[in-house]
Amino acid sequence: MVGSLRAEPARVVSDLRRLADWKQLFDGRVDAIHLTAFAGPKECTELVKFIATHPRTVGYDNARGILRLGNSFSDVRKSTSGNIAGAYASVDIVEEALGVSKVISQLLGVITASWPYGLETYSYRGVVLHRAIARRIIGAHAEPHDDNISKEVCAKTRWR
Amino acid sequence: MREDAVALTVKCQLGVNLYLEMPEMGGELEGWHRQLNAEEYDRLRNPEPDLAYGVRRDAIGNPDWEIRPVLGDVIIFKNTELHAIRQGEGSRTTWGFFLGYRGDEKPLLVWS
Repeated sequence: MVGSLRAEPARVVSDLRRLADWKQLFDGRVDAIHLTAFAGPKECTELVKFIATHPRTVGYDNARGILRLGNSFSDVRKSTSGNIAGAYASVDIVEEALGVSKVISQLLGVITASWPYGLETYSYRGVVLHRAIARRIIGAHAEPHDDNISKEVCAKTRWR
Repeated sequence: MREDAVALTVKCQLGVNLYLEMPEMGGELEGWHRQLNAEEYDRLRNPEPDLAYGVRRDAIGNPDWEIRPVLGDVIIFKNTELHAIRQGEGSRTTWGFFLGYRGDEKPLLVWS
């Protein structure tokens, strides 16, 4: 099934400069932070070309019509094969994308600057995880799902 | 502190998406103010093998909110709550990652 009755428009905060903007989301006063026109059309086009033509862009075996570039810790829990061992030994696509468009560093910069204590890359059992995943959906949809690092860590995922 | 214990200190997990390509119609982000534990998730999981990463829509009711980003927008939301993407005609490409809030005096965790 791919549709349902329309929901209410999301309650949003449209600025991200200080801790108070984040707190509105954490406290449930808004559904999302929505930054409009963060990237320009040219920057978007450059990144789409990078993603669409990258040799590491692959499909999912359990998500019809969805392609990915990069790795997702969540995929370990959801995948039927479950084997992404070694995936994080590859180059983080952030490193490559920084050479494609400055909007990648700008996005990380806005987040870092708006949070008093900045950012820290998560590492799991000595493996430094990557910092981005690109997804491309072509004429498809994504079923209701979640992403939850606590559940994923508790799921005894298969690190081989 | 063990690194898996670090994950358990995450009080709020967020998804960050930069929208690089959007279909002319569809592609909305839908959200439910509902979280499932691992057992519930497995019980409601879509039985179709190529959709098995998600849960059955008919089992969770209508979404609580929706938003339709346009090219170049950034959306940050609580992705531990159920969320979905509506059917679109054409391509939808995003650049995304996760953030973990562990308290006001700690750095945000970032990973994908």
